[in-house]
Amino acid sequence: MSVKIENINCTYMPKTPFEKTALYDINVEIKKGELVGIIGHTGSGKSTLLQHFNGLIMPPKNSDGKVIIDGEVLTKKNVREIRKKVGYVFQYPEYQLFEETVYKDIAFGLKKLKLTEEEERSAVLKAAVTVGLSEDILEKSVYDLSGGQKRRVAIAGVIVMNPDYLILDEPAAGLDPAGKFDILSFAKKLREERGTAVVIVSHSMEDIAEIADRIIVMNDGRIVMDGSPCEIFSKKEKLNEIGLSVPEITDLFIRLNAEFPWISKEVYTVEDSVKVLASLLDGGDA
Amino acid sequence: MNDNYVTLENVYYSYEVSENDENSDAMVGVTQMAVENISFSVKKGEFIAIAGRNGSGKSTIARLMNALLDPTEGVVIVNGIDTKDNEKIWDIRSNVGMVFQNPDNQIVGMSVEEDVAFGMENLGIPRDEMLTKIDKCLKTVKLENERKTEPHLLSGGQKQRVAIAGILAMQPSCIVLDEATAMLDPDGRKDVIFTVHKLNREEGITIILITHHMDEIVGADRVIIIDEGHILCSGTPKEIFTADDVIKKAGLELPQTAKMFNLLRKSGFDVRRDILSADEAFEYIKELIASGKIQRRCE
Repeated sequence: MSVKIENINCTYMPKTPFEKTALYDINVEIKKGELVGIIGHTGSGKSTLLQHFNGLIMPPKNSDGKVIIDGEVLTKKNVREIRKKVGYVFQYPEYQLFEETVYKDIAFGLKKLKLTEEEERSAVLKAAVTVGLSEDILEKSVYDLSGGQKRRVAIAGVIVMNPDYLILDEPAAGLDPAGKFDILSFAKKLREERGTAVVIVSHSMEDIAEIADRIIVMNDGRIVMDGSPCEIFSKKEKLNEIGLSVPEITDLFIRLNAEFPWISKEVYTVEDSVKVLASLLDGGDA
Repeated sequence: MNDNYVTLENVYYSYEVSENDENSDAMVGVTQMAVENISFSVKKGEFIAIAGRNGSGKSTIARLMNALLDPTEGVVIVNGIDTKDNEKIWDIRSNVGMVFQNPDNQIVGMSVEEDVAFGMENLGIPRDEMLTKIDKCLKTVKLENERKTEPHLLSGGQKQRVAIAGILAMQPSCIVLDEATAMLDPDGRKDVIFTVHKLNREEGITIILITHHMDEIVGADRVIIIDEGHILCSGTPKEIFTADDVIKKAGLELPQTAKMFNLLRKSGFDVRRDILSADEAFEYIKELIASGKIQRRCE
């Protein structure tokens, strides 16, 4: 069970003076149950890559580029079915809310499935709870909600379809720390409870280090690295070269390690850093 | 005259929202408090950061400062003028510039220079003077090479700097940035923060920076933490960084290194918590090693 991208190239406005190649020869596979972070500088091709996962952009005709979802090659004919499997949440999805109430907005995608009223209600409730919305806001107007709540309504409207793969394009952008924390913990929960594969694009190395178990690094339309947080964030120079960085805390320990080799540099989260220093410091409760 | 540029005295702001009445199902007006009993003042040339979560009331405070909103109760004085004085409202607005959150919502020109000229055109400033001012303002925000560029080709951080240049052309004494970095990538954020510090330092412009990124408050003279329409606490960045319980309560998050020292302190280690940056953390840990408090241990 996976989404597989094979030999994908993507050129915007080909054969015009504005021709711009966004992706070069991409090969990547996302397996069910993975939590993958995609990082890359603005303009590196992250969003273009994401839009291939559910056929928002189709592989060019007359090429050997293919998108294979659970063994099935994506075509114009099956794209509607495929989109039920691969949920896609755009950047700033709260701008796409349009219904009168929160309930109606979340339920919109279900309308075509001919569910009974009860089935629909329970699916909406389940989605709302998963993203951390309480039942009493379901009858409110979406315009009465805070930014973080609106964002969660928009995400609930996608996961109500129960996708096997969920693509989140910068889901925490513009949110305050509490709102960001809610979104990231719900992504983890979704993976744990439903085995959903979650792909998250983010500019925050700190957030990615905290939640992803695999990181894909993009630069100039190519995948340049693909590995565990430890594999990726141990290559500080390489990341710096392409305009990215390691988490603040990792950077600190890499610098310390250069002067004091007995201090570990394998620190990727605040939790790691506390463990390392606690084992070296005098005193403490432990 | 005192040297306070902006003063808020016991300010309340509330607005009406309509809600379904539980008994009759009719729509009724409900008063919602956005800020309650806020008092503080900002000195001329000061750099103030106001931090709080979404919906804490920090944007309301920003809008009260240049008369986009009038207080429901209390007084807001800007440069000696009461913001309720409708006749002088334009004196206030030409002195207090605002940069908003979304870079795409505040660009009006077809090119960068046109956008910067927009405010001056409305004031009827002569063309020659305009051209010199555009030059100067674009240089200040380091966009002198993008004069003729169409704004939609710029990055978010560049767009926000165009907005700042447009405000600079009006020669304001104060700039309020209402979450102006929230939609930017890390590079864009750094550029904008660097630019406002430069304006504060070199041109003496009073800065009020509203944010929920705690790493941006580091260079401020004073920080005010807002939650649920109230001031939770205020102090220097160092004082704020040691108050991690208040920060948490306000729905905010300290930078990683500060969080680390606060957590170590909670586990009973005698470490300082007022570490503002990774550089300071590096130096401090080196000190701890030199004094033997941190040392290599055998397994």
